[in-house]
Amino acid sequence: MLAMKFTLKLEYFTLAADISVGNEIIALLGPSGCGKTSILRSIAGLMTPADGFIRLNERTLYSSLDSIDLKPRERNVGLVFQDYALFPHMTVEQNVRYGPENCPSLAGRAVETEEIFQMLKIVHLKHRYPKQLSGGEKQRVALARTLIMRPELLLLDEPLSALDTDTRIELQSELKELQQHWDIPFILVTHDREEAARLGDVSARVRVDRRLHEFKHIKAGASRTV
Amino acid sequence: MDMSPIWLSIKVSLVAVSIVFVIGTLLAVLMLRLDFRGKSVVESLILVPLVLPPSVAGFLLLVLLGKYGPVGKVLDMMGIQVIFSWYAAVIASAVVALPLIYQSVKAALEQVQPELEQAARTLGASEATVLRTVTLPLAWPGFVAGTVLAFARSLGEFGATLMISGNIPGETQTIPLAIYTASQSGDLKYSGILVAILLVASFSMVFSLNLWKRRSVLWL
Repeated sequence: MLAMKFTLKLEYFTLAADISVGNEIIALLGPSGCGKTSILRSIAGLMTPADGFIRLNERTLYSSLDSIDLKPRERNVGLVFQDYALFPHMTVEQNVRYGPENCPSLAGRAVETEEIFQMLKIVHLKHRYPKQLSGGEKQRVALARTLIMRPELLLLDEPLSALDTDTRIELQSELKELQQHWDIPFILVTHDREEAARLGDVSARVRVDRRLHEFKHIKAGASRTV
Repeated sequence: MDMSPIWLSIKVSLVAVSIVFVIGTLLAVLMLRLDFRGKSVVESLILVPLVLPPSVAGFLLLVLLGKYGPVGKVLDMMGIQVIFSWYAAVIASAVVALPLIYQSVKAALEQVQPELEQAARTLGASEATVLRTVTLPLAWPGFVAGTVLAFARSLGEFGATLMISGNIPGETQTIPLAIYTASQSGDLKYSGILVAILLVASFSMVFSLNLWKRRSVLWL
């Protein structure tokens, strides 16, 4: 369960987010440049909101009132970057094992490496470097690298936009399966309305306002034009 | 045959490059992290020896470090004489080699994508771990390239060295100075040997750097 309400000062406007998510997929939908990615970065701790709070399963990740602002490494929030951000100097296996090997405090809870490799069907890619992978393969590796740490929340930045149609359809259904298996909230960002409708159990839309962008809940399917 | 210029050149270059490696890396990190007024002035000062004739650098160092210069006066009171000692050769080499290391290291650090460091942080890595496992390994080739270029440049330093360390055989006469002296006095055999040594050394350094870049960095 993720609950958050915060404002975020961006270069050209201030953004307000008021979203709560259960163990479901929520799609943040809006045109590019409207601040969707900044919301993900704030939840992950890579950006600091101006005020408000972010709570994840009874833990406060950020609260302006209580002066709490956990570091990214303390949040246990998984973030899959838009261009995957795989470490180019490490093999697929080293990428996936990065978390368990470099984070002693959380390593105990990590998933077995073999299990995660099989789940994401990347066993045969173990010894390759990221530059030797296709877009879809990179996406699977990035998911494995993040999920191995058993995050309590998974953030996905435009997870399917760089993929060809076949791969996209395949990964779409897999993302749904992964979410059901892991049973944690998934928040994904997309500019594609259909994708948001197909993947998201719930979708939040971005109201485009020059001064203030607001992200609020709108039930998928009942979306209105903004 | 007098081998002293060879050992002296190697000694001077090793010391100069070690100093410049530390200073250049620190400067590169500071210039990337800090934002202050006059930043481009400072950066230009670091880089200007690249385009100046070494005699200009030598002249300025002479004024600065000479007996009546602002730095030289203080050193003189402490009983240290820098000018016309092998330390001066180190300083001359360091000044001309600094921009090479600084540029390579800075460019290498700059091209490490911030997303990679951020990804490591979200996976639970501390700042020190991020530096050790992501930033430095990715910037490493730039460190090696900068060091090799600086060493090669330092070995070949002539103008500034001549002006501030003199040309004292066995004490401050490095390979380039010995080549100049010997050829001036008509000893073409000795200068020819030194020229060959310097050629082979410089060529093999640059050549193996290129080879190393292609071979060892699989993931580039």
